[in-house]
Amino acid sequence: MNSEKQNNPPRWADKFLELYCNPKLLEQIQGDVHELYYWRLEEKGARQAKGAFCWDILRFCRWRNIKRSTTQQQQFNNRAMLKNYFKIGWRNLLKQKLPSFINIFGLATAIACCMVAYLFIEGIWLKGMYHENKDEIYMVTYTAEDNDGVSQYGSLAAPLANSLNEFSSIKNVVRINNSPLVVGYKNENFRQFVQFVDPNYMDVFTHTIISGTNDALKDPSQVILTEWVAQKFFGSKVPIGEEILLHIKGEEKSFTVGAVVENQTAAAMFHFDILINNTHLSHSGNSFDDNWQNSAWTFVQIPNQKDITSIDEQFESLVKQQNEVLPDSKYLALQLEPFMTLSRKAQNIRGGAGNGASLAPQIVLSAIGGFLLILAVFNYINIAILMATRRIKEIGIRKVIGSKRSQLVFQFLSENMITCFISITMGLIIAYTLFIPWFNDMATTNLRIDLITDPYIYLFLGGLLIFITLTSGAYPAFYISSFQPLQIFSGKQRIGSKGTFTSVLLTFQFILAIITIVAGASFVRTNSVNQSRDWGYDNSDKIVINIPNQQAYIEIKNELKQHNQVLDLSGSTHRIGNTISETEFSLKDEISQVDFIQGNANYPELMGLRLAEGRLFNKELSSDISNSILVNRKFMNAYNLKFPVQEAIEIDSIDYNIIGVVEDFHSENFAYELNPVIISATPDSVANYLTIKVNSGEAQAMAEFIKALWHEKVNGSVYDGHIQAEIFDFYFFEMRGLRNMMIFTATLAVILSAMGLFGLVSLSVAAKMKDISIRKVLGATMMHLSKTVLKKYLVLWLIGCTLGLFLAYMAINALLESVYSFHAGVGFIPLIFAMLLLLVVIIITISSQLVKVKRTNPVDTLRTE
Amino acid sequence: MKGNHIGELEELILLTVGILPDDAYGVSVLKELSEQTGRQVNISAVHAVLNRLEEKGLLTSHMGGSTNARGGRRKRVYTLSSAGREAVEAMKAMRDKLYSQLPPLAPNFSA
Repeated sequence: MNSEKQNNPPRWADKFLELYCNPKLLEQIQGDVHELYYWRLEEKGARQAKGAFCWDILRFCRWRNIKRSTTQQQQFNNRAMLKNYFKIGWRNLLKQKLPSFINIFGLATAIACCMVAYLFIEGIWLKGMYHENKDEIYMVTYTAEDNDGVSQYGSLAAPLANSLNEFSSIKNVVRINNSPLVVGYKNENFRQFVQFVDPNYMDVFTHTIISGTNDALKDPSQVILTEWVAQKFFGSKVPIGEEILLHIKGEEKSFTVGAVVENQTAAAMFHFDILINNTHLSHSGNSFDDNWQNSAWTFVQIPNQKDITSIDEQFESLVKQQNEVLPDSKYLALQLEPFMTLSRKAQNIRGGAGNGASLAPQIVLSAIGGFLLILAVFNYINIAILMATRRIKEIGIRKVIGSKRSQLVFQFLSENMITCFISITMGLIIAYTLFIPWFNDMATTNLRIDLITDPYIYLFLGGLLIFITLTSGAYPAFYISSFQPLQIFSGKQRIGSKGTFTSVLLTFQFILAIITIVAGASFVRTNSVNQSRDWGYDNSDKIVINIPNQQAYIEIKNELKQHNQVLDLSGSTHRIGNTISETEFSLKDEISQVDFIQGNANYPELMGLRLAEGRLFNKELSSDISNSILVNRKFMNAYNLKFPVQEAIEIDSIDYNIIGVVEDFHSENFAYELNPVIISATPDSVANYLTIKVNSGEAQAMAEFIKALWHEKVNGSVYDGHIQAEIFDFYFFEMRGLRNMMIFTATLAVILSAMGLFGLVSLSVAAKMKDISIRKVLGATMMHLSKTVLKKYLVLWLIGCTLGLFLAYMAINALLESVYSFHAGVGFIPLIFAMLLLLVVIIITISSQLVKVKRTNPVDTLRTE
Repeated sequence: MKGNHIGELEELILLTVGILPDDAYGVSVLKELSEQTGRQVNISAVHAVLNRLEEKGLLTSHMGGSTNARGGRRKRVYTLSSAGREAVEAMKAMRDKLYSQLPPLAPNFSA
């Protein structure tokens, strides 16, 4: 038995022959190969015969012998069949309007959310994709040794560009420097991001010009503005030829506007407001091109990929050049980093372009998109199965006429494709008109759908279409096509009678809904708790302004002292809540870094810091100014100190004594922990911020007055003043945005699962109408009827709650932890709120169907004629 | 049609079919060919040539009887058509004509 089997020709090869061979030729070919096989078996043995057999079959695989449909008739039929599928699909969509609407609307909103998440993530990972030359541009980076070993740096010595320009294989060298500058127009000053570039910048990097010419930068007296800066300065008029003033390294220079380019989107590599020629970085005989102290991001354009290895070899000479001129900062080597990898490598290249973004928002956004997509797809699966109950006869007839199962599956999938295609189109419209503008406002980003120049978006949309079509359509298609015609026509076929699968999907939807509701509720709660959280100091009735030069500082201070609304004022080197610097100090020979606040002696008292132990500064004591400090409680705990402290704290080789301890206060917003802080007293000479305490309720009016006074005294700088109580406003704005996004997600999730439930209940009630009518005739009350319908869903709700609340608690706690350092936790209220909200939604949804049950007259459903 | 030209393998197979009356099919042609000429060809090549010759009208074919070795499958049996017969004759005549003009193998002393 065994040997007989061994001597048979290899089964798989035979199968393969049957698979490809034209049926008309199969008999003679197979016959010949088999005959040869048995002949060889006797002559040469099994091994060789088998090998030769496979080889023969492979050799027979030629165009002539391969199976193909040749008749025109068949192709025509295929086309007609496909046309018919789409026609039937379209009619079905129109016939069952409500379920179709639920499917399409659900999918469209979910797709719109995915769109936003996709654009956000694309902007991070595909930074710079809009530049036409993106594949030819490289950044020149260098490696050097530092304290942590060898690191890669992005900012190259500026004179090296001269040598790079001599390379024959490099077409263009562009250096880029960024700095925020004061820009003046008609006596008003603003701070704008200015990018200094080589004149050929616009030849290498792509920016869409709105007005003006590409050559503007070749004239050093011209600048290029982005659209929004142009609008900010000049309103709606065409700004070409208008003049603006830039304060560069203490000089005031006048420029004319040469061109206006489109605003950068989220996917832009460089973020600037104004472009100017980098000759302006040279000053007083100190040329930017020749001074080795200058550095810049250096990009090269290499049109031919093959030249890269040779360039790498030539880099050695540049390294030598640098190391000869500046032996103190030696380069180890130079590298070319492809432009498109810069954002991915942002963490590794110090001072490089393409800032990396934190993962948390990307994860949150894709989770939201994914959740909603899952909800919508589950709705689709559940509703599609129930919708098919109305078409079960069609399936039966198709099968009897001769449809194969694979054809039915294909039919359902192609119908599904129509739905998905409509959904994606609608999703794009919803994203374009609603979601993206909302998101941009909320997160201050500039996301944009660009169907013309962005090739990746088609990849994403195409992938999404296939993914949704298959995930939502596969199960219904296979399930429905499995029915036997006989069962269908004898009326025995029952669809989803057990409905385990449906129940599982529904429970899963409930879980997702609960998680999103808990997220929304927890963010609302945390925000309201943080809004009224104690800042640890008295933030009312104070105004903080910056004063960049000493003379103006004295003048403003003296003038304000005379003002009758001003109670007190104090200079400092920073603002609490916004800009705090750090200092190094040593305690018992250990060196650490802490936040460092310097102010006049009355500063702690003016800010309303609460004294815990010791005393505040006394401005009469000169020792308080020269070598006394205050610390906060956190500092005492962090370094295990007990008041009074004997040891001195050494800062900048001066010993300081701790004379008092203040209670902790929030020197930064609630995303950050409380830090150890040292406060020292300084005279006015080092202060560049002034804090003014005014009469209660006068802060708003005084802010206007102080701003006017400031403009009178200070030139060539930008006013930067705040009311102290408003210093976290931007932070609160951002957090409100996040909260709104969570509420929005929760709302969508609840709507989607309610719609899914609605579709399910309405279809199943419709299917059970006879059952219900009979009960009604026999005297069942509404209570009885509701119970039978409600019971099943309430059980699912309960299961969903137990699992959902547990998961929500874990996930949302982790999320809060990563967003806030100070939060109220998830807490019971959001959990209970989520449970009840979902219950109410379920009951309302089901009741809307029960009304239909109540209204129907049993006669209408039971009568058959 | 590519005219009347016949390749070398085609010629050999045409002749082989001719000398195997009533039993010329893929495997038998293959075996006869290797026995008589020592040529090792793959069976798929034999099929391809037989098909080509039939297209050129030099062979005719019909489905013949089955044997046990073939698992009961029938074989396609080829016979020489009259055009085939003519082609064989013409080829032989052409070769003979060329051969007869070959100078006798004799040493050349003129140089």
